[in-house]
Amino acid sequence: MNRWIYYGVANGIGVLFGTIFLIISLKKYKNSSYNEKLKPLKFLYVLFILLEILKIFYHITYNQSLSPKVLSFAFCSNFLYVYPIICHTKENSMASRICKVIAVVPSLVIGTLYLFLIPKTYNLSTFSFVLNLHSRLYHITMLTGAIYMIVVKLCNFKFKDFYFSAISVCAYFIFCTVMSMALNTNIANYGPSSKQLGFLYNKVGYVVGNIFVCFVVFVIAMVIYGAIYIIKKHYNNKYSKKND
Amino acid sequence: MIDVLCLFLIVIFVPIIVLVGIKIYNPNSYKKLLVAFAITMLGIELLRFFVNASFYESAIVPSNDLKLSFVTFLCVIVFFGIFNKSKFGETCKNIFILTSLNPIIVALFNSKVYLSPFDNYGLIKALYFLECGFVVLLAILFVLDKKEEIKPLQMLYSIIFVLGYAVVNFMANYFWKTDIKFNWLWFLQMSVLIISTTFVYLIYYLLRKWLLKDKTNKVKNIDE
Repeated sequence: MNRWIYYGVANGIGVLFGTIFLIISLKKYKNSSYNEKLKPLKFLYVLFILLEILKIFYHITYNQSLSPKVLSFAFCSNFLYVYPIICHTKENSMASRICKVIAVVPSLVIGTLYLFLIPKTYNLSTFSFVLNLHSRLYHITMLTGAIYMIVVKLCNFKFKDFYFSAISVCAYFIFCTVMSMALNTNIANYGPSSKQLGFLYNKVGYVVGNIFVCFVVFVIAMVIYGAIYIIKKHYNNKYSKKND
Repeated sequence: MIDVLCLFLIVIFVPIIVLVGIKIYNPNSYKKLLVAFAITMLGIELLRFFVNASFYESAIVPSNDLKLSFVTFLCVIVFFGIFNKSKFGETCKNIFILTSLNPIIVALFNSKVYLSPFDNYGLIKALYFLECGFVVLLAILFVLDKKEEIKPLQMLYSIIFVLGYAVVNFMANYFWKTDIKFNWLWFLQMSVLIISTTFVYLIYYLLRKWLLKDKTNKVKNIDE
């Protein structure tokens, strides 16, 4: 089987789900109150907690054991923990602000990477395909949730808030690093044996490599907030010209 | 070579990131920031000592791997610079500013300051590099917070401070019988540490002259 077909099917299912979710939720909740807008996010996090539980049981059934790598302690698992906090705290509380940026900023980058980066090698077994499908569905839905939050203005993007969001994401990233080191694995963050960032960690060391990733987070946050600011400004200028 | 590059990148980016935050949030005074970063630097130094000690059994810190460095001395005098309002405190502040590049120079001459054979994750290396970044950041914040300029006499006090460090370094390495050789390289390192205080003072003097000239030109243009 061609790898484009293999990953295309997995990506396609993720994109289809994301598109249907966005169309329905934006049509119904775009101009609703704050609490009404949270309903699609509640649906998402309940759905994915169920999917994570199914994945863990599938692993145990197939392998007759449970590896720590299967548990939801990875950096991308923040979706499962921050969405409930967003949905069940007050709108302008510090916890809600921090969780919104942790949910949105990494999702935009990682979700986009998952859509467009197709690995060169893959495993044709059913077990591998099911896990790959779960991973693609999960990460593309992260992206969908982030886009939904931006469009319905659940997360405000003033340019100077990039600093606050970069610090929040870095703090979460450092927490994942400390957990990886304490558990002596790279389950929470990429480690020296990973394909994605292994080259960096093997050259400069694990902790120094993570410091550089934090610097990159600042730059990415500045770029994302800057791009959204420019798009909003262009859209507002166009709208005010039409009114004139 | 890679380690040297990492050191320079961290020393450059840490102050830039914090100064961008200061520009965005515009605090009224730098005192709270100075206290926060000084405590952070002390915490990192303590963590560096304990992590290094944890690599050896029986919780006994081996004398020749104590990782005692120039930055340890700076961690002490920074608090005098922040909390002591007398001339002594002012002198400590100036010494800290003028010797802020010295931890980097020590790391360039002697990589054992941040390397350990048991440090699999590179944690001690990362902590030392972060400390160098915090030292430069604190020096910049001290300069921004200062009302009086640094007089040339302060260079003499900085040189005495560096000589004091040289004596302690010599005694520690001699009595603990480390494998540091007191050859031309060691004397060159101490000489460069002394020369760097002059270099930092020169940069401070030229930048201050240029910024003040810029300010007076703007005032003249407004008056006209």
